[in-house]
Amino acid sequence: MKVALFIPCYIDQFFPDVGGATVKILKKFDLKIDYPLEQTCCGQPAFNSGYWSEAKVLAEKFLKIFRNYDYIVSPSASCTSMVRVFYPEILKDENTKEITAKFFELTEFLTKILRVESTEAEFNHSVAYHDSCHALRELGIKDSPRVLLRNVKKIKLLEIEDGDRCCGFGGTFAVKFPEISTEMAKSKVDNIIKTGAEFVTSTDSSCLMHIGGYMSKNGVKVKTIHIAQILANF
Amino acid sequence: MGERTEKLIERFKLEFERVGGVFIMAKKDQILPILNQTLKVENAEKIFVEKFDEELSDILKQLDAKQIITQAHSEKQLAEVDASITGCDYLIAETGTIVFIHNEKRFKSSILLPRVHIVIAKSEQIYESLEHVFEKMDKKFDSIFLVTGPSRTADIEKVIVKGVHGPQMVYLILI
Amino acid sequence: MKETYTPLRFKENALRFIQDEKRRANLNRAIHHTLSKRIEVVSELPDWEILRQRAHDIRKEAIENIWHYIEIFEKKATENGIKVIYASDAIEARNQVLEIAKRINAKLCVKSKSMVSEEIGLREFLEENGIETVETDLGEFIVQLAGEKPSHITAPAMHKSRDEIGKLFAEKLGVEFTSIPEELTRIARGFLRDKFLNADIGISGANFLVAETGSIVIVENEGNAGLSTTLPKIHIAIAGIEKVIPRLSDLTVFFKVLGRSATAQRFTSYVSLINSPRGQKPDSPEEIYLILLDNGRTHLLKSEKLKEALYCIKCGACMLACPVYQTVGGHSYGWVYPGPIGSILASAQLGLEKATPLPFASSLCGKCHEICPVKIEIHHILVWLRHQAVEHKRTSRTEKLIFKLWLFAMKDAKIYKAGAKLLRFLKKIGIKPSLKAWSRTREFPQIAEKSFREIWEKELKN
Repeated sequence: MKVALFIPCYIDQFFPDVGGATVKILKKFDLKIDYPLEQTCCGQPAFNSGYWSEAKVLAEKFLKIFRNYDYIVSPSASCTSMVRVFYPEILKDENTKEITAKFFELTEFLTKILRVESTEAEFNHSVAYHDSCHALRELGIKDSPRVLLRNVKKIKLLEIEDGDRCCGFGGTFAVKFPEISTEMAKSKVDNIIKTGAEFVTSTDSSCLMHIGGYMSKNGVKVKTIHIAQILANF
Repeated sequence: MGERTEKLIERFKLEFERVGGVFIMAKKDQILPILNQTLKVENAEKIFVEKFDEELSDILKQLDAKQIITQAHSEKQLAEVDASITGCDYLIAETGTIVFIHNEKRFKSSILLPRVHIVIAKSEQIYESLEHVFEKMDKKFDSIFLVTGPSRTADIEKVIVKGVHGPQMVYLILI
Repeated sequence: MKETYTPLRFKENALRFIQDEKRRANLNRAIHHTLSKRIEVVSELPDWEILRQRAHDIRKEAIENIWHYIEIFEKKATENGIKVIYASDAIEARNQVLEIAKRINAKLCVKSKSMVSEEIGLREFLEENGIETVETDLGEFIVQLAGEKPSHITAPAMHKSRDEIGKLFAEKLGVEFTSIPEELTRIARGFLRDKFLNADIGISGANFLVAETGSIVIVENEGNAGLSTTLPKIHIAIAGIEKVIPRLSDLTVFFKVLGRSATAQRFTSYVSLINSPRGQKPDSPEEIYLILLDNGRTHLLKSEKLKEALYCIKCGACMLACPVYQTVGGHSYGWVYPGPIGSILASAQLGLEKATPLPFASSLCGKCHEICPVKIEIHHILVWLRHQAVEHKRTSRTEKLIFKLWLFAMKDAKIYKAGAKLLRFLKKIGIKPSLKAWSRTREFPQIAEKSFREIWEKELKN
């Protein structure tokens, strides 16, 4: 099985440990993984802002890099949805689906392709799980991360009230409409606080960056952690 | 009465009561006392009675009310009555809906203007769903009016208030 | 109100609403109430997803063959005695109503809820022409008294508290102050009863137009639409051309999804299927007119992408479910249809130049699509509209430049790496590029000591 790793640009630069954790998990299951160094960004920021011709350039580059792998795995549901859901739309080419369909978010890759329900990790903390909108509604990822988290030893997994509500990130939306975006973050954080969890986790570092950014600005003590970092704790 | 009809009636009753209607099963000879009791409870003195078959008409003539109108000359007159008593065409069990075909004998305003509306229906008029009623009905129908419980609103702070423009109380007497 | 009531003022309107804590609390209480009841009435239908798909398929069939079904509808309705008129835009539609009103020397119109009439500004127009026009839906009546616009398409006064409404009634209707909803409703009933009985014309919208039978279908709860379309001598219904559906039996699907989505009801209190004027009936208008309004809808039909927005049955669920709408309220959008679907309709009907902020005013979370009873891919259409905005140069030059630079960096991993190196260097010497719009309310993460790719090459590769 030829597996390639796609590490989103902002994880590469800001949260490299998430990438490291992903590698650790995949290696545990005896996978030989490749990380093509020509990769950069999937093009989502441009796509979501309406700059489709710019996004298209990156989409084409992306498909060239990853065309010869059996699977492409990424610790980001958001980038996965960009590739799987939106590439066929901007490239207007149904054939690209052959490649894009091989792209998986880490937790769905583990549960659906490797059919693994536990990474034998241990995490002695209470953790609230945040559904990213792209995971939940573009890709239908709901159970995979929960199954894996539930099987982490000593973890106390908590659900957030109104859990399927957006944290307000939305890419450039967070900058174009900072007040609205911040209000949405506030509602989300209020509900996270209510769980009493020490950590909040998610399939997406982008949501966590937004939620975490709001929390640290406002002195909220809950810490953010990417799901890969919990699952790699073995 | 067949088991199927009984089930339909049970479902209709459940749904109709859930939307705030008052459901009463009656034998023919019970109709008059039930109606008189209802009018008394609702404090209805002036009533409008739609044209029914002879047997029912004879019963309704004996109603205990100050004023009974059987021939309305204008909608204004209907606006002044406290209660109306009408028939209907179909009942829908699934939703507790009463179906009125708006034809030459029926005032649509008699369904809407009075504060109390009493419907007299027969058990053979009951159908499971609107699909069944549409199938049964002639496609060349005139206008239709579907009524599911009393008039209601939630426009002020989502508080449900009954009797906005239409009746506050809807009774269904099933023979 | 009027000057700010444009999509172009979205941002400042939104800011004002965000700061108005009382109003936000009113709105969110109402939304929460409806959404939690909705879950109850939706979950009791195990085949909800199948129903949604059927509703989607029927709307698709209707819109793909719209002129065919309109032709059938028109033929049937005309046979039944309804006069069908086309109006290409708001001006034409308003004048057609005025012409009818003038012909019979009408003094008073009663109106039941109709978003299309809001869209064309009908009430204001008739009033300007000396014809008293009264909204009879309680929510609309409240909004009319207050001189405001509806903040939601099925719950127009959901932004108002009972105290506000009590004060409004006391001031405008000269009644004693009360904040009891039952009392307020009684007051409105009494006031409007008189109007119903003396009106010359009843104006309504339409929820559906059934091609097979030529029926105008109106769904409601209060009975005001029933009265508006029964008591006056003339009934004028106004409907967007997209309201047509092929068959009578299609209604059974829509009744199941519409009530649940709009007001969390299993079935609305009243449904009128109006087929013909008075004829032999003891009551009903002597004449019924149906104005079929285009007003930019054929423009949507021409676009493969936008067409889907015409499937909308105007239930308003996408508004309630939208976290942005919940935060900014309906008025901020400055257009008769607020929220996610409204942002599409505004862009298409008013033109992007008059609605540019709206497609961007979404985090694209997809809640709108998830709740939509006819499964419109609202959030995907919004991204497409952003693309259109860029194509038509509706975004700033600075932004365009940023994305050009960004692409330059991302196109080539070497340049990307060099860019990251530069950022690390800046960090080392104490310069951290900051994004004020973000940083005012949220910390921005620090760039890591080493990027993942460096770690990979040095430590993980083997």
